[in-house]
Amino acid sequence: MEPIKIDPAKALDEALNLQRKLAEGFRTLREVEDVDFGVTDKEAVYREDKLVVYRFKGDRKPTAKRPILIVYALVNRPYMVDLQDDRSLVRNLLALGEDVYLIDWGYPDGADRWLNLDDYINGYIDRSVEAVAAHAGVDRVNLLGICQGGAFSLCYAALHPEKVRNLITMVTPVDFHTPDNLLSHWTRQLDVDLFVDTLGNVPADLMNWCYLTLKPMRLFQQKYVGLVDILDDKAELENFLRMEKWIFDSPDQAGEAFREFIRDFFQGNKLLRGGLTIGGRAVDLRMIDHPILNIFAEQDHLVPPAASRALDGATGSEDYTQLAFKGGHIGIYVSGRAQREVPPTIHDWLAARP
Amino acid sequence: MVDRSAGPAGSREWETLSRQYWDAVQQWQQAAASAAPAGTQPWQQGLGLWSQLFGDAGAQGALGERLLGAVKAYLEQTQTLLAAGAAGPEAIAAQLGRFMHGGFDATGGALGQDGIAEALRKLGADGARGFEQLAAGLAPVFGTLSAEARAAFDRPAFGFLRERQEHQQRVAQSLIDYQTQTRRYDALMMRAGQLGATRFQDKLAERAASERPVESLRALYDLWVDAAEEGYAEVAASMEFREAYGALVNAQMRLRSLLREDVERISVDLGIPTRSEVDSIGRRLQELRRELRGGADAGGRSLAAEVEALRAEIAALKAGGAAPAPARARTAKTERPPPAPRARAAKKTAAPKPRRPAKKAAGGFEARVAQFARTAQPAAPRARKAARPTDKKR
Repeated sequence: MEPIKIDPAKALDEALNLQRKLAEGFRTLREVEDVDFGVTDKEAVYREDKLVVYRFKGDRKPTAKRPILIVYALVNRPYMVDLQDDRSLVRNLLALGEDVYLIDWGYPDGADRWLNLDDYINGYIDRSVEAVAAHAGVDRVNLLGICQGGAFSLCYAALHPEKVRNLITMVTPVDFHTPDNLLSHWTRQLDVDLFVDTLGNVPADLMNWCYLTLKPMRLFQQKYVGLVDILDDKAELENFLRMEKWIFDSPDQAGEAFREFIRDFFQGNKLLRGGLTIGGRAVDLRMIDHPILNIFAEQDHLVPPAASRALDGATGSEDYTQLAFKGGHIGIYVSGRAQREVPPTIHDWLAARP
Repeated sequence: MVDRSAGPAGSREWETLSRQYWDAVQQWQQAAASAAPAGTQPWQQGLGLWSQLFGDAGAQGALGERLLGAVKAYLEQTQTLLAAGAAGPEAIAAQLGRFMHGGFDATGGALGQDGIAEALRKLGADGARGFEQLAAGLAPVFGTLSAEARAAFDRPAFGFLRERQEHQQRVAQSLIDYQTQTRRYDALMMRAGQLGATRFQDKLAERAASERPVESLRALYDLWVDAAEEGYAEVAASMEFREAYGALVNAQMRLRSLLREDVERISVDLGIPTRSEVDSIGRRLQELRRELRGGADAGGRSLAAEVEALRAEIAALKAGGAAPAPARARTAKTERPPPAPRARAAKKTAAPKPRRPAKKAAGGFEARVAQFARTAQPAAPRARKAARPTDKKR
């Protein structure tokens, strides 16, 4: 049997339909203004340099006694957790009675070139934790680290265990040397000292380019071919644009922090293997004896599930729970399934550990 | 059924359909704009006017361009794949190879003339593009150098301009190295294209065997993308790619670094501040900030410890007991409790705090305590919180 059996009339229909969609899309695109994001009202409770710590305001007062502080990655903007009304981890947590704070790192520029991991973890995160604790009137906070922010949160909890009550990690790499980790694979032969000494801060375009080339055909082309299907649906188009905006709204990376992260995490795998020092202090995951909820995505092409699963047994915690989410690195925040599964899991788990 | 023996373009049936298609497209386009190109065109060329129109698509013009680029490539590729499917496996491999080499634009924008191999080399974004142009301009010169001429780069330099000559030798060697690594990387991209072609053939054979033929342009395209991704992933995950990728990036960084040295030398001659000088200032500033922050934290902890000791002393004096050891005998390190307990400890150990006695003691010992507490405020937020209630109580 012939493997390709395309009826010319059907092919014509397809091509005509594509043109019709483009015609409608032309009108739709003219109607769509710049999309907005970050839907939940919030107030700034702490500022330092470019960093701002926000507290989100729900429709009702939080019932939880202890706040959650979200520590996002440096490589993207944190509003992914509050993208739009019906796709918001933050909004769902607030609705369940949680008290949610978030660190917004801002956009590093040349003045931030020399910020290192000590400055970020023992500096910015530590002072943010203290500010949130003071604002909420508690001695310890619940820390929710996302992706690279999860790795930072693990380091922070190991270095400052007395300031953390519960630790939640989402799509967090722990073992950076799993065989399916392409990003790690590509950086292993990189002379990161030469790289940072040459570039200074690492440009956001470069980072984005690297992520897109993980699946170049899908992300450079097929995605936009698929966009034609929703061109006549303004709401769907706005959703697409919001996501697109987030993907390419990336901060440059502070040179020194990037150097240390690539060298010690991606190349040395020291978070798991040991030997990691930050600010002259050894980071030992076994110092983490807090309850841990580890959530990862089964179809994550950026942080493979095996990289996250490695947290199981790597810490000193005797209260470890993990959730394998059916979805990808982004879907874990914005998919319909994520809205149904992730916030209640976090809320119920925290409620059992006041 | 399509007559693929002559290829879609050569089929009368396809020509007829193409004319019908073009007539319909023109009608839509004429409804949107007055000027439309006339005549029978290949299918993807019908996108030309859309491109002009989407350029005026308000806030989303850029997305419109990106979208059209992808759609144009999609139509091109599906037509070519249909033809290649009839022409045989070599044609499929050639098409996939062309795509790997010429399918993407470096910015992820509209598909352009640059191939993925070319685009992946543009690792430094905007800054690198200028560099790429420079490297491309020099390529014909260095590419045609004889082995003997290249050997001149290794000859010892001497005389007044020795350092300058050595630097130029390093630049030339770095450029050659960069070109070598680029060719190595390109070869891997071509191999990825060939692997993708093999996978595509396998997938088509599987469809034929399972009697599930591809029945639409989109399905054909999606199958081809799956195959191309698989081929690329196999190469990208190999040790060879890892080494080639690292070597390419390192070669580019070495060359950029050397070229920057040239620019900096000229800048120094002209009295213009250089990137290295700005970096040096930034580094010193950040170190100073760390020292200040560390000093403030240590000072705050020291003061807080002293205040705590003084409070204990007051409490002991008021209770009529013997005073504890002087506060200064304690070090910040040995007395420093963790911040969270410290707040609680401060409250717990605070002396009985009737307001009146505190007023009587104004300017005396307790006033010093209050002074210490105020001075300690620049410490961490929780320390401030611990100090404030005590102040009020006095």
